[in-house]
Amino acid sequence: MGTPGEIITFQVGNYANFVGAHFFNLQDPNINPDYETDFSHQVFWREGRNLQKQKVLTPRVLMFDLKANWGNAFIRSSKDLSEPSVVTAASSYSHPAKLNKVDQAEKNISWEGKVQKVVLRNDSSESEDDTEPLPGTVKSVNAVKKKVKLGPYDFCSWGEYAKWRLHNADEAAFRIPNFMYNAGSDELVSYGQGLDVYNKLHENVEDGIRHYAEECDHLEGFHMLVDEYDGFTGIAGGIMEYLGDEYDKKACLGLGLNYPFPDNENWSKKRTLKEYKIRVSNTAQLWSSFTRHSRVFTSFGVTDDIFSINPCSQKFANVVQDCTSPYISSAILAATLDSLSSPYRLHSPTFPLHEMTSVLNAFGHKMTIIGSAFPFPVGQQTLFSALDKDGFSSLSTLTPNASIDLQKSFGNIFVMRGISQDRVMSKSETREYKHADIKSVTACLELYCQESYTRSVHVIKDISSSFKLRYPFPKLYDDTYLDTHSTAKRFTNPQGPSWFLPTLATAHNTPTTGKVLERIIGIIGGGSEGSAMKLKTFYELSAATCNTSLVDFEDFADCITELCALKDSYSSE
Amino acid sequence: MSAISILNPKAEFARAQQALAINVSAAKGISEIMKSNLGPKGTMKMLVSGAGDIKITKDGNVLLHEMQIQHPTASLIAKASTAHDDVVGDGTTSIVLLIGETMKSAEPIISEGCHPRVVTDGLVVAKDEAQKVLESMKIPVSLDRTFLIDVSRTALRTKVHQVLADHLAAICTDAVLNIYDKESKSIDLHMIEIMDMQHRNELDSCLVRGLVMDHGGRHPDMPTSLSNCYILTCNVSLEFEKTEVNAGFFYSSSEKREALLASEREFIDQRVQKIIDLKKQVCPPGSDKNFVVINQKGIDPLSLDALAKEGIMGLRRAKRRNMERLSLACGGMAMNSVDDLTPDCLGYAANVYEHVLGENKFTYVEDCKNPKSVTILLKGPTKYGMVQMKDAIRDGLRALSNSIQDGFVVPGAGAFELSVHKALEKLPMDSRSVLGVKLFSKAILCIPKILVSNAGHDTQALINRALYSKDGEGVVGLDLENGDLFNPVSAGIYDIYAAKRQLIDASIVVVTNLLLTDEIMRAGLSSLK
Ligand SMILES: Nc1ncnc2c1ncn2[C@@H]1O[C@H](COP(=O)(O)OP(=O)(O)OP(=O)(O)O)[C@@H](O)[C@H]1O
Ligand SMILES: [Mg+2]
Repeated sequence: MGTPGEIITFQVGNYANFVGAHFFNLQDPNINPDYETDFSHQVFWREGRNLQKQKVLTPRVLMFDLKANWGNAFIRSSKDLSEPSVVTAASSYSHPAKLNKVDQAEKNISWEGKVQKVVLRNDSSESEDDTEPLPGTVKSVNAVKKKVKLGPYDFCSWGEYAKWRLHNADEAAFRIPNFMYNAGSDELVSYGQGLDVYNKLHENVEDGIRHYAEECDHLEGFHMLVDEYDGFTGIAGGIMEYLGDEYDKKACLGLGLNYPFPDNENWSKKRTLKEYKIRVSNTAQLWSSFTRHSRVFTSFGVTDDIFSINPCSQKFANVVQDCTSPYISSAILAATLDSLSSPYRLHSPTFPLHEMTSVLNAFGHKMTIIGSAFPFPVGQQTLFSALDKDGFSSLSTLTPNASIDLQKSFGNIFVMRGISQDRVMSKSETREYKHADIKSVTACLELYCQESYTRSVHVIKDISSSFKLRYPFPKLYDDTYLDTHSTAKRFTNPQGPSWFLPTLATAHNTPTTGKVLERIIGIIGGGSEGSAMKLKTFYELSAATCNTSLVDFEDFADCITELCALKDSYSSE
Repeated sequence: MSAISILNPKAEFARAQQALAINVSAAKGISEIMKSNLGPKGTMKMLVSGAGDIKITKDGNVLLHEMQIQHPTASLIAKASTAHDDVVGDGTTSIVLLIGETMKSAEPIISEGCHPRVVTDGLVVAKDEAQKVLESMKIPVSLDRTFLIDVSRTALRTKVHQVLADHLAAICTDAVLNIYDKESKSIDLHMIEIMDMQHRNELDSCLVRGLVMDHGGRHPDMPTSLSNCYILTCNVSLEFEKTEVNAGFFYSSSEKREALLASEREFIDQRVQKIIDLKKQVCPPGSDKNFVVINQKGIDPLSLDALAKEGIMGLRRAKRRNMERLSLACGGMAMNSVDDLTPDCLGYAANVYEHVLGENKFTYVEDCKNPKSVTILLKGPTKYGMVQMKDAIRDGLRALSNSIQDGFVVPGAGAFELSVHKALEKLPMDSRSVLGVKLFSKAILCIPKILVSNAGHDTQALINRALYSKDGEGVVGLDLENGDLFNPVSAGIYDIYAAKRQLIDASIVVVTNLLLTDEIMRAGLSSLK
């Protein structure tokens, strides 16, 4: 049992890369060496050597995004890290304010009347985000200390704050050029387009997966982060089908991500009925692909209602930043995923991914709901009194359109981090309540859950190390709040202090999921009371975006039928 | 005012003269870009992507795909000339140039008031005549190695420098001859795998009669080089996978769970044992035979250990496509279960060995008896050089498979274009088609002219000699090395029959469409679908 199993991550879509960039920043073994944490880097990171034979750790990830969104991110692999001038900062086109700061040579090459800008950067003095240089990088002496960037709009692309490198960018970074799906439009809008792209790429993608898998001794499974609103769903659909074929025994956790839908020009364009219908169709098709090929999946995001034409972002009490910024909202999601995955990242995992998924998908309930209390607000109290007073009221759902109804749920997973033994119960409480047996966080939570929610099965995992909030993770709360709720604060980082926070991440096997599915089926017009006409309009709108039709109407209808069957599995109880 | 502006005041439009001007300038523009890349003496283009990636190429097809073409007409031309790339894969540059030249010479005629129909009718006559010339010039293909080397060398020399081209031409020809199926007379280019290895020098590229896989054994005690090998290819999981059924949730007692896990392990061990039993059967002690397992699924450390103890080389997670290729290269068959293994399932290769290159391992399965699948191993010191070679090899292989499948080739070095010109000049014609025919006959000369000028010789002098002097009789091509004339057949320069056909057809279709356009409008539709 003891050995941790390796996991391969997919980041399919622009927002998925935002989340993934945070997720791997948080775990970066170059900052959190194994001997300092309870976690084994082996699960998500691969170990390699560069040309200088130094050990290099890089995430086991395959990334997909539109060519335009990459900037200069990851144009080099960790293999080339030894070269003295590493290009690190992302492209600065979209950032006119930065342009004059950067020593650059511009050349205009005219192609067909179009001016192409080639920005060459002399960057060694400007590699702005490398405060901890990776092995082999030469940190420049004249690196100027910069203003700390942590605001919601400081990072407009994920490449600007992702601090990790790829082992082999040629193989793991898929930059999707526009001619591949629809020359003339800059976006990948529908499932069908995505599938088309996948079919053109599939050999390379399969090779990428295979190379990671071939190196693993105990491959445990996959994390599949996918944007669930646009055409990247189709790419994911293609990958999922391949995984279902070739890696059927491995656990796959599907996360359908939702953009926070900010109220800006770019997105207001998209709030038309047509775009909406295509968006919902994409989501439905992704979910049905997840139902078929993943162990368990969820819809994940800070969005309030993904089935509204005008979705907006949830409000989080105490969060002082703007949650409609992708940089901020993706941080919240990544933090939750970081906590939720911590039981299977331990050196000797007690709760590997396949066990977690089997709790969540019992009775065929493949869709799950994820909740998070970040931070878990114990403040100066003991865990016991905090639970006694507020219960899980701090828990908020990160699955749009779903509520966490603990009374009704069948099974719950609670991952509590960062609460030490001595904070569980005070001496006086032990005397008063006569619970001398409660010595651990697990026991305390178990007791609370069993007494409050008698009908469900609870799996409780307690991880002693806290969540570390530090640069470039955004400072979501104000200082007072952080100081109250953190268990420690350290000033090791030049960009500001790090706070150690207790967190709670949860996942639920619950009948409320059925409601979410009912909603999407109702909108598209599937199911027994559905209307074939309605279904057809949804189908035709997305089909019209593709040059070649890879998804025919029957396939589309099958997807909806699949979701109906999933929904029915919830109502039979 | 145009009628469309009444229907849609926002619409942008361009009429008659203006529309023609737009189309002509686009066609000229795109051919101007590609002009310098034509032929063996053409120069290269360096493409720099937004992210700073560099690609150096002179392949028309690659160029058109990589350039972000925005002009609608230019993009139409690009699409038309790359449309048949999957089949023919050659002649893209020529098509673009011919379209550009024809449009350019049509412009003054139409501006003077001649109706475009008259021009296009003439073009159709010219096309039929050119087709006839093509038929009369074609040379039947024999499966002779030196002849085929000539064919692929012609294609390759237009993409990479001569020494390398000659080296690769032999490799391509041997590869194609190896996989050519004499019974069905078919060639499946998928059976030629192209592998790249960033290592050493371009001229170390070679043909491996067998397979090269990009991974190796994962056990320190496993043999790394074996000869006289039986090869077992299978798609069977040899790793202990904790399926969801045995997860904790469902088991009341932990003993029960442990028991289940133990039996699962047992099950895997039995599979490994079956493979070992087969090995013992075919490689009795004292024999010089060896055993290699290539598995599409995983093999975990315990299973690897068991195999290594028996001196078996085991590879896990082989590429799906390689499984099929393995049985074609070595014989035997890919097994989906280890239950009924017999020696007949096994393939054979004389040598199997591992090659370590930095962090990467490669496994060669070489010297198979009668391989129906081979690997071209490209080597080179730089990445962009390798990409360039890969594109070139693709062209070379395509040239061979096309010419074998067409059954014919055409003399190259401009011979075809010169003959078309001569034939059209002699063609008796009526007054209606004369404009179109004359126009095309002049336009097609652009290809030989550009070939000569790219080589740095005196264009006018050489072309005139070819057309009007005594040396220009019969089949005559342009000797770009010496700025002279020669017979391309004796020099071994052949073009692909299908590519020339395509050149004539596609360019005339596109030119006809463009000339007959009398109004261009952009009516604000995001797509025309
Ligand atoms: N050794 C040679 N001497 C003279 N002309 C040659 C020679 N080899 C090839 N050619 C000519 O060069 C032309 C082909 O050039 P090239 O391959 O660069 O362009 P293409 O085939 O039109 O486009 P693509 O880029 O798709 O290959 C043909 O017209 C051919 O006859
Ligand atoms: Mg060519």
